[in-house]
Amino acid sequence: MNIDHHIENGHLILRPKATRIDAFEAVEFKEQVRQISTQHDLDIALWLDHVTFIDSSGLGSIVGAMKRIGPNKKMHLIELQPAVARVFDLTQMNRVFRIFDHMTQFRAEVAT
Amino acid sequence: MSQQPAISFRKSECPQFKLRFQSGHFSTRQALLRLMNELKCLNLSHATCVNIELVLAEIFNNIVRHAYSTDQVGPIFVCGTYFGNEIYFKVEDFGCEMTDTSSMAIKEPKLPRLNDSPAEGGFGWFLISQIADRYRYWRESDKNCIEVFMPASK
Repeated sequence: MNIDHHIENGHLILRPKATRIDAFEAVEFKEQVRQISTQHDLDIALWLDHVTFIDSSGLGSIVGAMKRIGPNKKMHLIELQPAVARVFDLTQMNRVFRIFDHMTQFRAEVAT
Repeated sequence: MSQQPAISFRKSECPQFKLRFQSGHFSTRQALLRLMNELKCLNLSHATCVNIELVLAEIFNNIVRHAYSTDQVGPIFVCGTYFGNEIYFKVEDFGCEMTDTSSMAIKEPKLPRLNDSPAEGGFGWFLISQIADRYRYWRESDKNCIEVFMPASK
């Protein structure tokens, strides 16, 4: 899975280029996030504007990635597409992550 | 490379469709994409399509992981009927029997609480239970059968 990443005002921005984080790619996604994040001691923002579908495996891989970066670092989510937001709402994981509707909102409120 | 999923679609007053594919996470993805593409002709709302794809994904993943397990491959059969305000699916496989069905009945799993360490798994049947009007599992000879009814809107 191709995950673009860059640093922006003290946050590591991870932007998966894939449209699906499902059972087929959940393990690889989590491993890639782990590999990239271990190189940077920064809070993470997962920019999911390209991702149009996740299942419970994809959800688990995002939660797992968040837990693996440790309690002292945060993971934010940006631009959840409707099908992705639905999974976070139903499982109440929207209470665990801070979620931003758009990148502009994230930049205005956090990455400044 | 896995076989392409086979699909048939019969347009009628209550459109019916059938899908057959081999178990596996990649073929599950292909089958879902194929089915959702076929269902476009029903002009269902985006919310309905999201629900259908999510529920079927969770059912298929459960079969791949537990009925056939990782080292066993077998067929998965899906048939469905659209009734206007409801859509019905029956999913069959020839894998191991689901002996512990208690997780299917979970309506209120341990959802995350603030400042709690959230669970990474165990949400599959919960998602199905939250979306579906009703669903049931039964064993029929050497087959596992799951049927699910979901609300549908244009």
